[in-house]
Formats: sequence, structure tokens, C-alpha cells
Amino acid sequence: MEPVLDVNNLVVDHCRKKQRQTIIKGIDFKVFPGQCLGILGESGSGKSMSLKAVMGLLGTDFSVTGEAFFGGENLIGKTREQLRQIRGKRVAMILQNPMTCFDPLYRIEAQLSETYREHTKLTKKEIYEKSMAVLTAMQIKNPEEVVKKYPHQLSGGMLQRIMIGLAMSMEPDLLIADEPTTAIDAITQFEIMKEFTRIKKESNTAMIFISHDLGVISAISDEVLVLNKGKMADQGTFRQIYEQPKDPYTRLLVEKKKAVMDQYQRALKRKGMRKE
Amino acid sequence: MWRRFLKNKMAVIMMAFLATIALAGVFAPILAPNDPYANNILNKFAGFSLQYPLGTDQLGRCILSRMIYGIRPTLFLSLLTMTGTIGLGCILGLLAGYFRGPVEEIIMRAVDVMMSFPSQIMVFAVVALLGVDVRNVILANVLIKWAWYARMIRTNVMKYRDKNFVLFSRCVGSGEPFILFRHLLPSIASEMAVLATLDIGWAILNISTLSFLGLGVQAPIPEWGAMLNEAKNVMTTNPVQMIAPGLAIVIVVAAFNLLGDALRDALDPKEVEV
Amino acid sequence: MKTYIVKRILSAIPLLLMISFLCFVFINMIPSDPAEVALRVRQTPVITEDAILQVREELGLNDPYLIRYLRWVGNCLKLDFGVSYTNPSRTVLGEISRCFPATFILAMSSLVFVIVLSLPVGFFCAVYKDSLFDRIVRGIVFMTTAMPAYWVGLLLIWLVSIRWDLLPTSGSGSIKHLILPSITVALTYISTYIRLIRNNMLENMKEDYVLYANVRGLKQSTILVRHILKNSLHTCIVAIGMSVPQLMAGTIVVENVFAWPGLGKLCIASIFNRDYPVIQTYVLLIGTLFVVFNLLFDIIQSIADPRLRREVS
Repeated sequence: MEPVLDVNNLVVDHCRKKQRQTIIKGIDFKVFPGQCLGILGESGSGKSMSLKAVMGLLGTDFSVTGEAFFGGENLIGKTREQLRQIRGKRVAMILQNPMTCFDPLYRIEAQLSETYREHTKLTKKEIYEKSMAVLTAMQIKNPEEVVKKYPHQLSGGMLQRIMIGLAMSMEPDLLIADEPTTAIDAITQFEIMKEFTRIKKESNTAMIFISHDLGVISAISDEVLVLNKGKMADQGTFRQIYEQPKDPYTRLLVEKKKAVMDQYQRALKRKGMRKE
Repeated sequence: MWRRFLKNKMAVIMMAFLATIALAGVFAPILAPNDPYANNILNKFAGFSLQYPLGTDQLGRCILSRMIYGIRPTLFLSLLTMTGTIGLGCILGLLAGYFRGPVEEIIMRAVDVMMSFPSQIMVFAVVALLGVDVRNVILANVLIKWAWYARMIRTNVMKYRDKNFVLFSRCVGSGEPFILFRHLLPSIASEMAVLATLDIGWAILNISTLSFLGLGVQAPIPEWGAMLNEAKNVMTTNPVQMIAPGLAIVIVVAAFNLLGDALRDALDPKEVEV
Repeated sequence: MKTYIVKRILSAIPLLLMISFLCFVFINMIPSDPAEVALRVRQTPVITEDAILQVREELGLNDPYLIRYLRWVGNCLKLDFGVSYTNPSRTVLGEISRCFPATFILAMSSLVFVIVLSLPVGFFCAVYKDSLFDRIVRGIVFMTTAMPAYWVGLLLIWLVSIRWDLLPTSGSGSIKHLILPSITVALTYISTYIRLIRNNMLENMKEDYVLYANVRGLKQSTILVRHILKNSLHTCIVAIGMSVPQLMAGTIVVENVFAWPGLGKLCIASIFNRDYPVIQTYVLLIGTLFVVFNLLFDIIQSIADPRLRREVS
């Protein structure tokens, strides 16, 4: 099977006032259709930045080198216009703070339709119907009302669903989810993860799931890549990472999580004993 | 603070430039080639010469000498305005910060009104009321601008009001004003320096505008705005008379603005280079 | 929503009261005695002490401060601002309404210049940040803030009217007369608005919705105009609205330079002639304009921004 995205030796430098700082120090990864690659790491480890670099979303004071093969072509080195045409259509991205990602001055339907107008040749009526279908597919009740609302009138969870729905409705080859659950409460997190699992099952889209939360990564990824300070710390299935972490950093992450889980189990058992 | 200030080249250059101008004003009698008040009608509108480097005006007075002497009223008056403004602003800001309750409310309401009102109009109104006199011009400017300083000082005092609350209850009297002073001064100093430099520029423009309209410094005192008032009548015959003082105003005000901007960059805590 | 509007209007009232009170205090601090002035107005040949006392009673000048203030406010609301001290045959209202249209026209045409120049320039300065264009504009803007308005006017007159003989030097009467004064007034404010729009746009460019728009693959031009510019303009609605009273007040000096027969010229003449009622009414007028426009545009901003509109769903 050909990988949807094949990244080799990705290096990202930041140049400001003649000071050059290397942020991503050569990472490799591959994603295959129908599979989910989880990228795990703390804030500042470079997980979001590496994907933004590949997609050409970083500013001009960043320099990106390496290879990122997508559909047979190297994304690094393409012009801004070429990358723009790929973004949204063949590669869709979901961001962290849905509450601030939508323009507060436009209704949801306006923001959905501008995306469709850009990438497709659908008529106004078809765009409306597509928006309705998207919202319904994401389990949103009363889509006709929701679509006429402004972003501040909707909850974070709902906006996140709309984001996911919009992304998937373009039928992309690759879906990148950048910490989609971080800014959302635990209950909604669970719901959103259910959606992701459903999408993974139903479509053949390759997925990259970025998070710092081990639990969330475990729920959805087939392969896991652990990043630490811009370098690859570990790679493998979640089981491998969890049970046999090779890198000291990964070991630390896993141990902390295990400690929390153990404490939790103990608390449960105590409660159970008190019940008896 | 001084170290950061000195590192910023622009700030240092501007300070040096302005200091030179100020010194030129102080030593005007030595520097100026002629007496700024000496008129010689026969020699009016003379061209450039060694005796009269910028020529003469409609009364035969040396323009360059008048320009150099003009530094005095311009800088002196604006500095006086600034001192008055800062003084009044500090006092009211401290009062508003120290005493909560009605005193603070009244002062801050006054600040709001002053800040939302167009300063130009207020200056005219005050001058209209008090009469056409230089002192009234300064008073008018002070009465307009104090509000900005008062607000800034009050904000800073409020920060320390809570910090020193414990001290308040213990050593009322000589103890805490001194402590407040020592803590307040560093944080205020930088904001104040920026505000003050930008304000001097504003004051110079304002004073020269009023003088131009005949409401401020009166002829024959060589103030740049007043000189422009005289120049406007003889624009066609002697354009130098109109260009020179105007250019002088622009250069000095621009220098103060550059200094203010440079100070703001130099003293901004966020810009501290690690 | 309605509660916000009502609250805002209510908060403007004390401000208006304070301004009117200040104006009233102002007129009562003047050195000349209103009773004497009234006698002069009536062209009484001989002004005696008794006559003055009598007139004082008549005009109610011996009443307490507050009562006189309220009476004055009442008169103002009836648009009775008294009579000009210098020319008793003319009412203050008459003088002001005579000069108002000229100032209004000047302010409006300056506004056109300001908007037409500052909006695109500010926009492109933000889009091409730190480019040569941006740096040149910022340099020019910086210089204009240091230039006195009247000097710019004089220079323009010298260059355009006298040397190149393109436009008339002063006075009013045709569009040609309007151009130079409008440019002069506009120049003083253009710098403020260029900076405002540029800074607003730069702030908005860092927002998350811009990143998301890029993620969705929208065109740069779409993002810039539909999203960034619109958001930037929304934040400056009040500032742009306040430009009208600012320009109305800012014409004083320019009117003087160009002999434009507007409120500014009237005001300066009144200051020289010590025509206090006119000055007082002028200050009151401008103050009220400021408060009213501020109120109006605050409300407009809250209606325009969907976040501030609290719709009842």
C-alpha cells in the first residue's frame, strides 16, 4: 500500500533578527489510507508545527526543508498557491479552539458556503443541501436553525462537530486533527472521539491525530509517533509504546499515566470495599 | 533603566540633538549673528548674506537670529506646560489612588470628561475666558492634559495600594509615603518619560498654533508660531520667512516624537532582550 | 439589547449635564457684568448704578446659582442662547446657524479625503507589512504628525495657489475653494486613521479564524477583505464615527488660514471681541456633538457586532 503522506527528514528553522533556531530537527513518518497515526507530545514538542510546516501554514520567518510526499509530489517546495488549492480539499485540518476558529461576524452557513464555493462548483441550492447533510451526519439536531446562527451562539462541542463535518464533506485524502479535544470538556470529548472512530470506520481517509493526551491517542491510533523537543522519541503501535517504551521521555510519559491510572484503580477498589 | 535607554541608538541621538537645540537657545546671544529685535525697514526682505544668513523679514530683522532666539519661548513654555501638567496630574492621580470613595470617583469622572473632550476646543475656551496672555495659554494646556497623567498615576498607585495595605495599617505617617515613593517611582518613571516626551511635542504645536492665531505669544517676541503669523502676509515676497520657522517646528516636534517612540521601545518591559 | 441602549443613553446624560455646567460656570466667570452688557444692548444712553441694580433684578441675576443654571439650561433647550455681545442686533443662534453650514461642508469633504486615503493605504500597509511602501507611508505619517496644520495650509497656498496658480487662495464659493482647506484638515487626521487601520488589521491577522480560513484553503484576497478588513472596521466603528465631531472641531485653525466663513472663524473672532455668549454656545455645541456621536456610534457598534447583539432565540 502506498502511503498517503510520506515525510522524510523534516527540518524547520525559525529565523528572526538574524538568529536562527532549529525547532523541528529531522522527523520521519508515514500515514496509510484508512489508518490513523497518532502524534503524541507535550506543548512545545513541535507536533502541531511539523504538520503546519508540511501544509505551508507557517509564516515567512520559518524555513522548511525535507520531503513530504503527498500524491506523488513533494509538498515542501510547492508554491503558496499550489498548497492553498490542496488545503481544504485534499488535505483537511481540524484545529484546537473551535470557538475562535470561526469568524465571529459571519453566520455558519456563510462560512460553510465560502469553503464550498472555493473548492467546488456547486450551486447555492446544492451548497445548502450539502451543509444540511453534513450537519445531520454529525448528529446535529435542527441543522436549519444551527446553520443560521453565529459562532458565539454555539457550544465548543457543536462547533467542533461542524469543523469535522466540513472537513470530511470535502472527501479529503488526509485528515489532520490538531488537538481537537483539548479545549473541550470531558463529556463532549467522549462524544467527539466517537465521531472520529465512526469516520475512521466508514471512510478510507488517512488520519493524523495530534494530542498530548495518552488516553485520546490510545482510543484511535493505529501507529503512534512520540515527539520530544522537535525530535522523534519513539514510534510504534500504542501497545508497544505503552508496554515497552524505548526512549526515556516516552517512558516518563507512560509512567506518569500509569501512576494516575493505578491511583484511580485503587480509589475505585477502596470505594468498592466500602460499599461492601 | 538608564542602561536600556542608552542602548537604543535613536533615543541617544535624539537626546543629543535636542540638548544641542536647547543649548543653542540658552546661548542665543552668543550664537545669533544679530539682535532679533533690531529692525531696519530699509533692509527688509534682504537675501541670504553673511550678515543675514537667512535674510531679513518685513521689518528688516534677521530671520536666523529670530529663529535662534525663538528656541527660548518655544522650549521654555512647553517645558513649563509639561511641568505643570505632570504636577497637577500627579497630585490628582495620587489623591485618587490613595483615598477610595467619593474623592476618587469625582476625580476619575473629571478625567473621563477631560479625555473625551476635544483638547483644541478646551484650550480655546480657556484662553477666551481668561484673556489673551501667554500664562493663560500654559494654564489652558495644563488644564487639558493633566487627565492623562492622573489616570496613569492612579493605576500605578492602585497596584501598590493593595500591596502596602498591611503597611498602611501599621505605620501611618512618615513610613509609607517614603516606601510608596521608592516602589512607585521605577514603574511610573518609564511610562511618564514616554508620555512627557510626546506631550512636549503636542505642547509645542499647540502653543505655536495659538501664537499663530494671535492668542498666545505676541509680537515682537520671536516665537516660531508668531513668526509664521507675520510671515503669512508676506508669503509671496519672502517665502523663506514662512518656510524656516515652520521647518524648525517640524524638526523639533519630530525629534521629540522620535525620542518618545524610542523611549517607549527601550523601556517597554516586553522588549527586554534576554 | 434595548436595555443596553437605554443604559448607554442614560449614562450620556450626566456627561451632557457636566459639559453644560462647565459652560455655565465659564460664562459666569467672565469679567464683564451681564447687567451692564444688557443695558448696552438696549442702547441705554447713561448707565447708572441704579439702572444696573434694576436690570440685575429683571434678569434674575440675584437668584441662587442653581436656579440661574436651570433657567439657562431651559433656555438652551428652547434654542435661546442669548444675544451677541459685540453685535446686539444678532442672536447667538443666528450667528451660529449662519456659520454652521460652511464648517459642516468643510468637515464632510475632509472626511471624504480621510476615508478615501486612509482606508486603502492602511489596508495595504498591513498587507505588505515592513515593505518599502509600508515604511515610506509610516515615515510620511510620522512627519505629518509633527507638522502644524496651519503651516501645511500656508505651504499649500504658497505652492498651489501662488506659484502654480491652480486654485484660489482663500474665501469660499466654489468647489475649487473647498479643495485646499479640505486637504489641509484631512492631512492632520489621515495619520491617525492610517495607523488605526494598519494596527487593527495586523492584530486581526494573528487571530485563529485567519488560520482556520487558511486551513480551509480560502484565497488570500478573500481572507483579507471578507474577514480581516471587516473585523478591523468593526473594531474601529466608534473611532471612525468620532471623526465627524473631531473634524468639525478641527477646522478652527484652517478656517482662519483660508478665510473660510465657518464656525472656527466665528469662534476666533469672538475670542478677540470678547463675545462670550458665542464662545460659550460654540463650546456647548461641540461638546454636545461629541457626546451625541459617541453615544450614537457606541450603539451602532453594538448592533453591528453579532456578539454584542443579544438575540432572543
